Amino acid sequence: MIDDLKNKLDQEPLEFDTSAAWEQLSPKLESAKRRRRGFIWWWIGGAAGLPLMLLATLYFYQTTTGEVEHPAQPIVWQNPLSPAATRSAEDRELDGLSDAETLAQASKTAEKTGISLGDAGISDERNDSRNASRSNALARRKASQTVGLKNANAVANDQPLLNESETLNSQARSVYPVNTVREVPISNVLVPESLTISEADTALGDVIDASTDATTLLLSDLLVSPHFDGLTALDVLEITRLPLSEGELKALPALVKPDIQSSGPQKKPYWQIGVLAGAGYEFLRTIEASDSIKGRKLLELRSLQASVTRSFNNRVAITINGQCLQRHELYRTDFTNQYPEVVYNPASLVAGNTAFGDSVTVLSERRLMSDRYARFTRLNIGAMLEYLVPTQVFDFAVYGGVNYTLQQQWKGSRMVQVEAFSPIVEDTRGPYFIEGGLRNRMSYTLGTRVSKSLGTNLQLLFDARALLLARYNIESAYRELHTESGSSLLFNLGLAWRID
Amino acid sequence: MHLTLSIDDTIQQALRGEAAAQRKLFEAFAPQAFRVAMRYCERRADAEDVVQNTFIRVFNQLSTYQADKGNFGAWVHRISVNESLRVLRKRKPILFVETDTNGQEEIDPMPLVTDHLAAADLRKLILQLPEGYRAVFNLHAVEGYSHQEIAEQLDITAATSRSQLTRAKRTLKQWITAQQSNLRKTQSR
Repeated sequence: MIDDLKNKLDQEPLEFDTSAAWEQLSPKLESAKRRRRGFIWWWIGGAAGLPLMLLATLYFYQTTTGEVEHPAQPIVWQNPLSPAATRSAEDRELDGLSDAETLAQASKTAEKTGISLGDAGISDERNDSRNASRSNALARRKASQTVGLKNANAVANDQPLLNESETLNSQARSVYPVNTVREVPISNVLVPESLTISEADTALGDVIDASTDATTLLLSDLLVSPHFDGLTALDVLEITRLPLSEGELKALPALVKPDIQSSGPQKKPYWQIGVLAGAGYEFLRTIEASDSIKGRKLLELRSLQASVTRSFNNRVAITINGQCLQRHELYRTDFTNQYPEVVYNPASLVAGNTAFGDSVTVLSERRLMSDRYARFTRLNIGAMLEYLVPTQVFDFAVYGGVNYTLQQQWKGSRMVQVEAFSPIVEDTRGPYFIEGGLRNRMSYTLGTRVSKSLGTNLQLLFDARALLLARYNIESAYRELHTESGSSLLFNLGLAWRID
Repeated sequence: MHLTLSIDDTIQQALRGEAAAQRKLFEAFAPQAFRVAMRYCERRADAEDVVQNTFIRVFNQLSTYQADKGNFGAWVHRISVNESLRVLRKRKPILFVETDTNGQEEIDPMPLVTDHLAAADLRKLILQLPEGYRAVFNLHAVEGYSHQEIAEQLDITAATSRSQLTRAKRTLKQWITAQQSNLRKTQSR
């Protein structure tokens, strides 16, 4: 039948003006050649441009973000009986550059802001840095001396830090064996640079300054101080090394314990901005379609999610999130088909408008390899209400909410045909955008999230959530239309930045 | 006077960018490509577009052609079929009407008897078929592709290809029968 039909159809005389068609085609061939050349140059240019861009970027960063050197300042052990030894080499160098007023100003600035400022008399960057380091050291000295002179009882779980503090205190004591903070000159103890001024240190300084006599500073004073919130556990421990009453000693662990555990329950409302990536699978899937579709395996489900969370107190938070879900269907086929084919001798002749020559019918083979894909991208914009359960180790949250869903669908294919007696033919189609496809726009989310502080404000997030009751009309990679409803379980891992 | 050249020589010259050789190949194989296109496209302008696109691809990919594998004509034919399908898709998505057959194969109607039909009439009937039917009918009944191959080319399942072919044949048969009865009536008068 095939040959009959083909032969019959080939009998029809069809007029085709090859000359006119060639006149139309030849300019297109030239432009196609130029386009191809253009693409090659674009590609070469792009490939060469990338390393140049990288070099330029590196150069830019090297010249605009110069590193500030922070020379290490080890603790210098000195003979307390030698007057010369009471002054460090750095202090002596500073004497040459600035007067006592400058020093006092630097100390004051460091105390108030915790941020060192450059001395006007020292113009270059290195000197600025050195001066800033010195300012930090001065502020630290003051705090250390203040604490050191009041040292009475070290607390066991703070021993390593207290030992360091002890070292500094002993230096101060050995030089100026006095009892009050105000009498201790500030320029005789060197501390490591690693001890930087923090906000808590500033608050600590303010608390101590507010006290008329440091030796009478009690825990009760501290509790009513407006700066108490700014103190860390270490500060509280240091200050309360004063002789405490029995009642105060009992109150101390309860006071400092939650704060020592840095990842403990959050007391203040916070904002949290997170980015998570993950994967998942679909469950409870129902498909209204033919059996061939139901039997087909899918699914690769990927998710990228951004969320903003606002906690109102220790227990309740709301989250707005945008979740991009991508589902990918890929069907790969590779098969060989045999068929009879009329094969011409390659040395056959072309005469005028006709090709002729010896021909023979053979059993030919045609191999067909193809990848066809359908890609569904869904954007879920969700609003969630969260119940927070902070623990000593991590923060746990349970949440639920609704999603508004948008969907995009693309599909395409790439096919390679390899025939035994002719060159490879490639055919790439798409991607084509397929409109529509959403049955209902609302779906629901239930989930849990665990976050663990990584120090500072950075949080590690693990999120497991279920997207429930979503319904879609889908055109599969095989062009078949069907309706799916189902739920997805997604596991996400990500990072968040918490702003108190 | 016709210049006589072997296909191999002409291809080599065309590869070197000689316009005369390209033209010779075009003149030799374009009518064949046009004939293929006219089986798929209702409009002559579309068929001419198919020929243009086919030869742009042929000349762009000529370096991949291996003379020892032969059959340049089959290669051009294959590309012209692909381009015809592409033009069909561009015009509008090919609609493959699905009906629920409860998992049973549709019964293939009796073979088409086209002896009494002129080639032009047969082509016109084929072109009147819905695009989905027409594409599958041409690929299977005329070009000789298997249903699996057709499924790959048209992004449908092999089962859909089978059902489209059966319906195409049934429709054609109805039309041919109707034509025959009309012819008989006319003759009897």
